[in-house]
Amino acid sequence: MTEPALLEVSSLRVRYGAVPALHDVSFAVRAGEVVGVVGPNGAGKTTMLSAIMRMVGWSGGDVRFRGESLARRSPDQVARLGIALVPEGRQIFSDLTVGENLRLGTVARRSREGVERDLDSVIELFPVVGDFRDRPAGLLSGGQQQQLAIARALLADPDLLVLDEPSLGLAPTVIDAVFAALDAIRRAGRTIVIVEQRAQRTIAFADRTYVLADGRIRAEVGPDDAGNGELLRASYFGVDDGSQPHQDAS
Amino acid sequence: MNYVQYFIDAVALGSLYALVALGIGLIFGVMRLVNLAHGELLMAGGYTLFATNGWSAFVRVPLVVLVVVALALLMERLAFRPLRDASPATMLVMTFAVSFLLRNIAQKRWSSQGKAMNIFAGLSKAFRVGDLRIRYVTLVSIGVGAVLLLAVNLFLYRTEIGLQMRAVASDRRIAQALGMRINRIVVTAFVIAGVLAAAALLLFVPQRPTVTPDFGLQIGILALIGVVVGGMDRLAPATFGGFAIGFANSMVFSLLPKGQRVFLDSALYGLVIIVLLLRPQGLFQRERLTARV
Amino acid sequence: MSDRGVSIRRAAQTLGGPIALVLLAGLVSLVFSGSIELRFHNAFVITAMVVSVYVFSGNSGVISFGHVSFVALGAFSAGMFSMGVQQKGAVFKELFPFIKDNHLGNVPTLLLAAALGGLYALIIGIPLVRLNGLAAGIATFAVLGISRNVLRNWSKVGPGAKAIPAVEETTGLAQAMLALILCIVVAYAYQRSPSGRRLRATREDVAAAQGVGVRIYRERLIAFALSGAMAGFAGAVYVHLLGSVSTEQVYLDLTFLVLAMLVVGGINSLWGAVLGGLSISLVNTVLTEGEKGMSLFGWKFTLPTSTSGIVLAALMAVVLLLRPKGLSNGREFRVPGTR
Repeated sequence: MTEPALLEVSSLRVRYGAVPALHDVSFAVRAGEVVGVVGPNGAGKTTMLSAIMRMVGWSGGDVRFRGESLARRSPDQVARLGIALVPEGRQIFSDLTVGENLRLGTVARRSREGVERDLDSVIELFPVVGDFRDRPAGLLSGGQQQQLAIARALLADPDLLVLDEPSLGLAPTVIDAVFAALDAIRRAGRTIVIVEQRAQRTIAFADRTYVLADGRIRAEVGPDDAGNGELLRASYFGVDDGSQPHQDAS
Repeated sequence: MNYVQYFIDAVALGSLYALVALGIGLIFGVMRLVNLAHGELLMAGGYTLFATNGWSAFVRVPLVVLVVVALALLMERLAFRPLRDASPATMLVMTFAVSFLLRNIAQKRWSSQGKAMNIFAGLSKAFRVGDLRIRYVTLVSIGVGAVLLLAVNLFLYRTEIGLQMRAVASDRRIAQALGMRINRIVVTAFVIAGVLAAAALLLFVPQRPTVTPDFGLQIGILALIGVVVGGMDRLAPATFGGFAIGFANSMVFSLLPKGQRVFLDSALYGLVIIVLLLRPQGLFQRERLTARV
Repeated sequence: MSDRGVSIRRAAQTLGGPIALVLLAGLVSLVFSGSIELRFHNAFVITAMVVSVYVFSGNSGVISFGHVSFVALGAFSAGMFSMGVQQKGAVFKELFPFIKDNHLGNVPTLLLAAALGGLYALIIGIPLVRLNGLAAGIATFAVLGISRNVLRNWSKVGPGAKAIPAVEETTGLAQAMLALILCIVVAYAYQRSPSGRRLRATREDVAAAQGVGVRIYRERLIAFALSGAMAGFAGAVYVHLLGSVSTEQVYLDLTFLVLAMLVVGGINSLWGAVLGGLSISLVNTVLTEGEKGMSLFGWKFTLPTSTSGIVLAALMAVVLLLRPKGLSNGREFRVPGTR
């Protein structure tokens, strides 16, 4: 008996005015999974996350979270239902201190219980947020801000953690640290969706990864396909007629 | 020429304008809305006073606060909230319409004749300290101004909603994505702005005893100039800008003979244009205003 | 029909629609006399002002709160030079000699007003067209404030707080209609010109237009100066209609009226500007005549005073909320059923 998916995206369509951004995107994420979404610039990855968070409207399809449709929800309601977003480019509140940023992460919590415990665990995961509690967040480096953004999202105790391009603009060593932290988060049992341009890393890290290009899902690959450059190229620049995502040849 | 006298009077007027400017700044912060109708909040308070002439001050003061806050909330709910995602220029036009509407309603109901507001008459009295003639209202204005500014400060930095309000002002989209209820926060901002406007109005009465439909226009526009020149994007510069405008206005009036101060308006408007062109983040603000075309 | 045929037909409708409406209104005005007839003339002149604001704001997407400054300059200059020299010298003693000692006929004052309006717009436009959105709105509002302050207080050029009296009332039905039609034709010619088209391209997407080489600030400045000249011209026609002018008549209330007309009609099209101007004038006329007590199709009613301002503001608010593109929906005039 398969467990019902935690997040189920069905035939999602998004348009910006007359321009279509997502066509019939469908996929599912089960509790405890780590799912990646990779694709070239402009593929619609951020649009997809924005759509799930209801920050942009849909022109068709549905997204169900724990079985409930998100169609009529506003972004703050989605957050309070248990989906936490780590936005592209960090987007922490630069005028506020690190500590204040963290506190704001707790707004979406469904229960006040365990705040202290969670705070301790994120500080353990990202020592920098503990060290710089009173510093204005805008003064942190890119990597530190990324860690703050993830910590902030974790403080919402979400059922689903969604990250939009966490490695964007970061130095390789910092990216390593971020992924190491994400690994710890995964081992703690959280469900994660990572959207990334860096295909290799993500495919190797995630349980499953979807390839999104031109607003469509073109392939679903596993960690073993991480080295398969040809498969990826075909997916990225593949057939443009909306044909079926092709199965990996294994 | 008693410069100390002028200085104290200027500080008092500056305090009142600071209160109005803080309200404008709060609303701009949470909604990116420049409210041309803000002055009409004071006008509404003024007519409330006129309508309750003779009642006990203990009733009139809370009533004024109530009416002003109610009007602010009405503006927000009916005219501004639906346009929240429209362009800032569209919102500006809407506030213009609201201002025009309210002034015309007042004109219809009470005509353009000045109506006496009649409160705190005792504050107009003065006492002497050496050479100085200090009116009670001057001291009360400075005192109340300081207390209210401090209270708002504590609210913003020591309470949960205050923190959320600062977050919304910093980045509304992300605040929403983190689960904050934007409507509640915006409403709170309008309530505070209303209270500040009511307080300013009550303290303006001793120096401007009659209310007309255009009563709020002059004060509102001047305070707005202060906010733009000081720095729209952050509260401290905005408030200080309001204070500076009130202060400067008072000093100019005290120091210059009538013939020479007629072009003060042009100088102030000119300052606004210069600031917008050369230093759009405002004179008192250090960081750049985020570009919003 | 061929492509060329379609585009000619479209052009004819875009230009012809507004003109036809004006002619129709003119015909209707002949039925009335007295104050209502004057309201029609008023409507045409104010609509000319609306068209002038449209030339800039409609094509650039930047809202200007300050265009009534150019109207004021036009009205005041035309007014001052229309006054008889004797009377001028007696009433306004402090004027500059070149104003005090000269008198211009009707048409020369119109040309002067247009020239001054255009020049003023050109000068302040050079720095201001760089601003967008909110900043532009505030800055143009400040220009309005400055213009009023100066006109009201610089007694060497203006009448101060008094009104300019005894201006020849040369604006009758013909002049008012002609003035409006002239503005419509100029606006149309501009929006079809290469410069106008380039500016319109920037309206939707500033970055994209810059990317294909449109020099935005140059195009905006051209539109701003042209619209300033048109507004000045309309101001001169206005003062010749009213017979006098004071600063309060060309300040906030007029600014609001013109803006409301543009918003209600639809800021993005010529048809919107004309439709908004004439329809709001109609509503305004009914309301103000109603305040005096009027009889409409046998139904007598009297409205309480100041209703017109309230209704106008409420109307503008409703349009902004429910139909932000205005009555014209941002489109030019099309005969129903054609493309």
